[in-house]
Amino acid sequence: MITKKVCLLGSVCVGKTSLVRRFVDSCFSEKYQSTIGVKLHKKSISLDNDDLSLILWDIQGEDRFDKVLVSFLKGLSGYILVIDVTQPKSATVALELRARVQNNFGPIPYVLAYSKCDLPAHGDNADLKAELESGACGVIRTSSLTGDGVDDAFLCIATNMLPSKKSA
Amino acid sequence: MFQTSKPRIVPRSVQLRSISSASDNVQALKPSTSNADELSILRNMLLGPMLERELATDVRLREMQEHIDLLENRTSDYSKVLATSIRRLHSQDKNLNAELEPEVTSGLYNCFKNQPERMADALYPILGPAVRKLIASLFQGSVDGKGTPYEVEQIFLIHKDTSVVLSQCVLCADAARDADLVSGMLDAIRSFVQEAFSLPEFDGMNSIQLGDLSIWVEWGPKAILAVVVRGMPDKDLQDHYAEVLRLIHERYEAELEAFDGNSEAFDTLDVSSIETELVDGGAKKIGSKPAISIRHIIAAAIVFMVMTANSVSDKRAWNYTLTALANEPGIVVIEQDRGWRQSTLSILRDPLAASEKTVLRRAKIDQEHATVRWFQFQSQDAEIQKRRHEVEQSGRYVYPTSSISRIDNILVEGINP
Repeated sequence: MITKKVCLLGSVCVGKTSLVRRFVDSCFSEKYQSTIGVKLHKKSISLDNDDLSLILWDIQGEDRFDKVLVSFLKGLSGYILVIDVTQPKSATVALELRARVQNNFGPIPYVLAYSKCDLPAHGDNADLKAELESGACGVIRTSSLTGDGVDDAFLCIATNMLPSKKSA
Repeated sequence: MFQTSKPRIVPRSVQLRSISSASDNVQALKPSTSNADELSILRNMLLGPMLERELATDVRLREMQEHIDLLENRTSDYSKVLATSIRRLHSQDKNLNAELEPEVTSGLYNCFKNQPERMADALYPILGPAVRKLIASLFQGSVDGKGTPYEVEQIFLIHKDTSVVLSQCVLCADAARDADLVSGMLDAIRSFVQEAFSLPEFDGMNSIQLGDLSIWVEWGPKAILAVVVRGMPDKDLQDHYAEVLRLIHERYEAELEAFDGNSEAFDTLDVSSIETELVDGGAKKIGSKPAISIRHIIAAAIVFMVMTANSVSDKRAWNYTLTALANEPGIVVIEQDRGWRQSTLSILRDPLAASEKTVLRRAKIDQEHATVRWFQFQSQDAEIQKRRHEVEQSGRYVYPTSSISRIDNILVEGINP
C-alpha cells in the first residue's frame, strides 16, 4: 500500500471542503478545521495495479487574516490548488500559495481545479490563470454540486504522485 | 286468562320456574296438540329472546370460568397489564418503591452471589473506567505510579518526514482508530503548536493526555512511535518503547531513509514481536549496540557503587565490633554471622564483666540490625579473676546459674566452683 499526503489549498470559500467531501470515504472530524485549521480525510483507491491511500489535508482557506501554516504542508506529495470561478481574487491567492509551496518544498506536483463551474464565471485574470495552468500537471473544471470533474481532479493528482510517474 | 300484575323483580331461576309452571298449567287445562303448539309459539314469542340471551350468558360465563381456571391464561392476562399497572401505581402511590425494595434487593443479592461473573460483566463498562480513574488519581503525583493498572491499546510507527503510518499494532480491537488519520492529526497538532508558539527548535510533543487516555510520542531520527495507553503506566514502559524505537531504527535504517510512501518494506515489521524480543532478552544478540540503554547502564552502575560502598562500610564497622568485644574482659564471642540486613552474635558473658548495655555501646552494636544472644559463663580472664577475688573477699559473689551450656553445636565449658 502506498500512502500519500495531499493538501487542498486555496482562498477562503472556494469550495475545498465541498470538493473533498464529494470524494472521500471517511472524515476524521469536522471540528478540527475551526480549531487548528485543518481537517483530515482518507480515501483508498486502486490505480494501475497500485493500491493508493490518499490522506487529504483540507487546510483552512487563506485570506489576509489567516495564513496557511507552512508546517501543515510538510511531507506533502502533491496538492490541489483550488480557484473559484466566481471569485477572481482566488487566483491571486492561489498563485501566492503555489509560490510558498515551491519555496519551502521545491517542485511538488499539483492539479489546478476550477471550482463551482456550475455557476457563471466572474472576472477574467487570464494571465494569472495561464501562469498557474502552465505549471500544473492537470487542469480540471469541477462542480461539487453536480460532481463533475471531482474524481478526475483527485485521480489526476494521484497518478502524478506515483513513483513510476515521477521517475518517468 | 293471564292475570296482569305489576312488574316485580324476582330471581332468574324463580322466573324460569314460574314461566315453566304457567305453561304446564295451560297445557293441563288445554291438552290438545294444536293448543300446545300455539302455546309453544306464544311462549317462544314472549320468552324466546330472553332465553337466547340467557343461554349466551351461560356460555360466556362457562368460557370465562374455563379461562380463569387455567394458570397460563391468567399469567398471560396479568403480563399484558402489569407494566401499565405498575406505572399507574407509581403515579398514585409512592409507597410502591418501598414495597418492592426488599424483593429487588434480595434478587440483586442473589444475582451477585450466584452469578458474580455476569454481574461483573454488566458493571464493567461503568466500573472499569471509574476504577481506573480512581486508581490513577490516587497514584497521581506519587513516586512514579509504579504498579498501577493500564492498557496499551494501539501502537503506531510513523515516518517522521511524511507522517505516513509505516506499521501499527492494535492491542485492543474495540479501541482501534484509523492509524493514518490519527497520525495526521498528531502531525497537525504538532505543526499547530510549533507555529502558534513560535518554537523553531521544537522536536515534537512527547505526550497528549486526556483523562486516563494518553498518547505517548517517542521521537527517533527517522520515525516516531505513538503509543495509545489507557490508565497510569509506570515510566519503565516509556523507556521500553524508546528501546523498541531504537531497535526499529537499527534494523530498518535503509528502508526508513529511502521511504517514498510505499510501506511494503515495513510489512514484515511487527512492533509487538520486537517488544517480545526485547522482553525476552533476544534483542541483545541483534545489532552492534547493547539492548540496554545508557540510562539503564548508569542506573545499574550507581546501584552497584552504592551497594559496594555500603558493603565496605558495613564490613569495617563489623570488624570494629568484633575487635571491641574481643578486648572486653569477661566477654567471648562464640558465634557471629554478618548478614545483608540483619547480623547475629552469640556472646558469653561473665557476671563480673561490663553490663550488656555497656558492652553493646562500646562495641557500637546497633540492635536494630543485630540480634545478640547472651550466655553466662565463668571467665578465666585475669581482669575478671581479680574482680572475682575482690568480690569473694567481700562475700558478695554470685556464681553463674549455668556454667556449662550447649549453644547450637558449640560446647561451652566453664568453672563452677
